[in-house]
Amino acid sequence: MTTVERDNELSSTVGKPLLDGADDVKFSVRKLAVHYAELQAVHDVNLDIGQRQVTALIGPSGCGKSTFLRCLNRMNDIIASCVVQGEVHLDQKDIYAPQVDVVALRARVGMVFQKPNPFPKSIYDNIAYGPRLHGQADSPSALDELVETSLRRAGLWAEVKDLLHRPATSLSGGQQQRLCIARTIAIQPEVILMDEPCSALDPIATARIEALIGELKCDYTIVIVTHSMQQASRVSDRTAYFHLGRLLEVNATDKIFMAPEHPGTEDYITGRIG
Amino acid sequence: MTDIRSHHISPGFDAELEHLTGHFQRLGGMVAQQLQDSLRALVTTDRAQAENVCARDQEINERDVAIDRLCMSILARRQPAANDLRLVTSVGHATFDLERIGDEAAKIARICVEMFDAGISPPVVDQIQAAGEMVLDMLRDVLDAFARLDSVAAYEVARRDALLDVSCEEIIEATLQELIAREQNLAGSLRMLWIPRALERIGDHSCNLAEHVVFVAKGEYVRHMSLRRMAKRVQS
Repeated sequence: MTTVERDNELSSTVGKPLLDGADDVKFSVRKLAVHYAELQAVHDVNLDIGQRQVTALIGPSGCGKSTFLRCLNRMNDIIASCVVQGEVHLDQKDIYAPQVDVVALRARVGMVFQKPNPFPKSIYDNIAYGPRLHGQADSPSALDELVETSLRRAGLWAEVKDLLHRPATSLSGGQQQRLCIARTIAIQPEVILMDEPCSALDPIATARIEALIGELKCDYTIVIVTHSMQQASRVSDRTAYFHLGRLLEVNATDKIFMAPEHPGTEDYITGRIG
Repeated sequence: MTDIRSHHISPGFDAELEHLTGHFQRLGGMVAQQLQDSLRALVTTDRAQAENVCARDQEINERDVAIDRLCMSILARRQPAANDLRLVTSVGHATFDLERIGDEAAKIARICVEMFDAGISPPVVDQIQAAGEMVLDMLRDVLDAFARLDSVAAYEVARRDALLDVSCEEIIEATLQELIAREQNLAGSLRMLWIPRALERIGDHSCNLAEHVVFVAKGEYVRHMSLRRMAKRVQS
């Protein structure tokens, strides 16, 4: 029995929370527990997140999936009452180590939120903001190129190339969300965290974002929290099911949606519990 | 494994699944009745009963289409997952098997009508009746296993198929011997050989139904597997 097999067996989580082959693991999370003051939101989670894969986190409201997601780039640091225990390793380095530069970490691990949140600036400046901050473009032409590349990768270039100096807020909701993805890509992250990125979008804008996720996973590791089971089944390679702060099951997405191992997973995805 | 009959948050979804499984069970009952009637027509040389079986086959075909439509509707509108998905897709596949069993029963009835019209008395009727009862029991038991999602009972049905195959081969051999001994209307009598073949095919379709039961109940694909491997999956 390999170490991973033994660890999988020792974990209370059903399925395969841990992956074989360290090279394929982007995030390695062990015994993660999160408290908001007295309330424990996440209990003893062990999970590997595969490199250049889409991992979907699903579960009922309040199950801890968004809290877990925010631990991956230390977004919970800004909540005073939040205490994170356990280990979160990115490329085998502890992201909660004292010497870690959180701003640099968030450049490596970008985030797209539920509602599109463009800056009150032009489309161009929304994309250029991060690279300027991190000194990633050494000339105006390099910045122009980075803006164009990011917008192309987010599938937005054709729609906005003649409107680059218009306010970002003049775009539709779906375009704004793709702009936010372009803004995240512009600082050349390794991981993109998405917290219900389509919940405020119509079906067409949602389909565009889902297609984009499929393209981006060739270059980025993506972790997505979604309330849409169909979305999780469409876009992800692996799915993790959270319930009451615990990670009940992790498996290949096909397995989760056709024959899950944990009865709790089955109850949730078949609509027998809310 | 979650009890597939436990309630969804949406009562409408429960109602649709019940509607679907109800239709499927009724079709199963009709097909079993068709098989029983075709065998009785053969044994009692009842031409009218054989003709009734042929006529009722159309109703089975219509129900097959109706169930297919229900499955498509649920897939399109509810996007079922896990055990619900397995149930809906398996009911679709299993309905195909039931419709084919109906076709085989109608084939037996048609052969009876042709034989009776040609004045040929069916040979080895006792053996056919015994094999017919065997296959009828298999069909009824697998339908019962489907209703209860009992994969062990389904496996037991699949296990009986080998015995049925032997009986059917024996019937073919005995039929040939008797037809040769009769030395009359051999060409017309050869149609009789399709009856044990039909029973054998019904046994095969009953095995398919058993495999669908295991898939719904356990989430395990056991199609095209040996009985030994199937037994392991059923017991896992």
